[in-house]
Amino acid sequence: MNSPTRAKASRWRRLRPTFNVKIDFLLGLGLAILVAVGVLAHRSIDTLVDTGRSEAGTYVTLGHLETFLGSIRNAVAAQRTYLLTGSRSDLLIYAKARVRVGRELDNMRAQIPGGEHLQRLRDFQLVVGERLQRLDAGIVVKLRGNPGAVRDQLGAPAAVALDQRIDAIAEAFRARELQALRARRSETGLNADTSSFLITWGTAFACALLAWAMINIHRNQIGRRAAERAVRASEAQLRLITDSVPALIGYVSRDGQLLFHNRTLERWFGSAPGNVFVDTLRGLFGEESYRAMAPHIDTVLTGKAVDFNFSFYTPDKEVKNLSAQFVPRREETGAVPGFYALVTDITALTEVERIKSEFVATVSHELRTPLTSIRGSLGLLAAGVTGVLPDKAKQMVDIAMQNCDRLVRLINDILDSERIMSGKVQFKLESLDPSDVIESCLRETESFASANGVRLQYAPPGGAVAVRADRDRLAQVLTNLFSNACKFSPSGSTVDVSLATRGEKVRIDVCDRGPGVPAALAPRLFERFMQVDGSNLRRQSGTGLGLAICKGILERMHGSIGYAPREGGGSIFFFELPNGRDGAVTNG
Amino acid sequence: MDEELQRIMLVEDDPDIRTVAGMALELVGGYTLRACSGGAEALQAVADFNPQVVLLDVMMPDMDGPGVLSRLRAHPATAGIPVIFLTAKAQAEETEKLRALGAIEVIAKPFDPILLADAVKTAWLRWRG
Repeated sequence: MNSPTRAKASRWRRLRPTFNVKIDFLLGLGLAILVAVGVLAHRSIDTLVDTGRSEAGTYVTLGHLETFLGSIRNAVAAQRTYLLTGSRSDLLIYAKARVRVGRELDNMRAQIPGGEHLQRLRDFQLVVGERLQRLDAGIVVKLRGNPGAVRDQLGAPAAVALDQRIDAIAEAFRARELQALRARRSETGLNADTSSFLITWGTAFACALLAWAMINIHRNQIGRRAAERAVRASEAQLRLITDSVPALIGYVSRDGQLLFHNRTLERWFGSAPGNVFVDTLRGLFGEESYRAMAPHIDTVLTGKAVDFNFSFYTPDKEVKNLSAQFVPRREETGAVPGFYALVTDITALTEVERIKSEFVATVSHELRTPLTSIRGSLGLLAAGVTGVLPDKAKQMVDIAMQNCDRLVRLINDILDSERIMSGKVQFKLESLDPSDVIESCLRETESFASANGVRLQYAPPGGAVAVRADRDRLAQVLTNLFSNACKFSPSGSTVDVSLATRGEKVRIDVCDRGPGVPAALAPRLFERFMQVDGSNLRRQSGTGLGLAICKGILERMHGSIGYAPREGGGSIFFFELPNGRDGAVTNG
Repeated sequence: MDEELQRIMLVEDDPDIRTVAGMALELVGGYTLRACSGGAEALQAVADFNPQVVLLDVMMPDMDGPGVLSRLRAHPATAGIPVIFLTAKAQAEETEKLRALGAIEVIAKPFDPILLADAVKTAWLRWRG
């Protein structure tokens, strides 16, 4: 992934949670405000509708009232006309007007709800009833033909008083309705103003919030697309890298399914890229190879990484030697749902190793043959078998013989090292008493120690000690360390050998009083052909392979070797081996 | 039985080693030696010489040491002759294999000529019990 893309992706990862929280909040708040505005608008509309209905009801009531009053005035007018004219047609008009008064009163009672108007309606009924009686009385008088009485009826104070009462009741009726109408209008107007304000500004605020949310969503999408592009670029790069690796890289699920693999798989198994033809390890490598893998798969699924080698035949019947590393994938819960597999083709390496081993073996054999003649001839000459040599000649022959021996040791060590490193040497691991082997090796080294003026000293531990080791190889390690200690110790000094059990390990220390090892060289002390340089430290030269061989041997016996400077001067070479208390014998 | 070691047959294809080993056995050890340059020559000479021990090189061009041993074991007259291998491949596994074939001892090359005769004698005496 290039750096700008990585920066964008990083920025996206940093901002994404904020965006989400902000967007959720904005959307929620905007929607809540819109809902509140909707509810408020609904209630305001309801109120306006109710007010409108109420106003209409008021006008209807007033209409009925005026119609009723009009019918009374018509009846009064018709009666007056009849009293003046005495016409039967006017009498008929009065009769109709009178009937209409009763009907309009019934209409008004039916249309106007009771409540506060109930009493006024009753008053109307009483007063109007009384007024109609007076009108009817006037008609009767007219019919009887009494002109004086008729004059009395016209403009009678009682009638005028009744008309005034009717007008008063009607006025009270109108005043109450108009007052209620004004009150409702005032209340509705206030509510309408408040609602209008809230709806207008609430909608505006909600729209602003939603707009803000939309902007954030848009930015969010831009960030997401950038992140997706970054992820795709990263995946493509990783894919390119994994496909370029000349090893099989894969991920295998717990049930053996090959969920991911690079193109090496296709190269090995001869399929077109992307064509996943087998999706299990068993199907891929075949039953025989899978049997070799199965125990390692069991181990890696317990959460432990494993390394091992195995062979298999490709579809072209070509044998491949493979080195596999399985690494478990752990979840936070500790469960292992699968493992990563790195399988390297070591066929060529194995072949090179085989050729190298063969070369080393052949060369060592071919060198030994002439060396046998040289060493034998020199030995016979030096021993005087062919006659007594002059002193100078004897000295030269001895030098030649010593160097011949050195050459033989070098060849032996190279061969030994090669065989140990390549795993060709079989180790017979058994539980044994290391003291026996130490004492035996001390006896073997005794003459060499004496020749160097060094005394070997060993104090066996009190209790029984056992190690798991191959006896001969343990002796080889001990002999090497003892002879090294003797070589580098000053004449007259002591080499101390000690043995101690430390939990599951047994440790053996060889402590000399020589010049020690320079700190800079200590880390490389056990590498092949490593020698402590400096003329003062090389009183006797070696092959430079002894300690590397010791390390190889001890590692094959599941042990380790180390070095520490000795306080007061000198070296401590120590090694540890597994405690051998169980006594079983196995092949290493 | 008080028989002493006297006759040793040496089978070695390399003339220099044959010379050195021969001198070591004859001059240092004082034994009667019959030196052969190969397996075929040894199988022809073994009946006449009647060696008490055969010192046999492992790698030879015409017939290798194990082959010669096998032929010796196959013939009743020579089946009982003890064989000591001389080999430049003297790693532990190889030595064990040679012993498993029936050799009473395996001597690694290069050997010390002064100690060769003693090594042969020691192995022979051990074999005799």
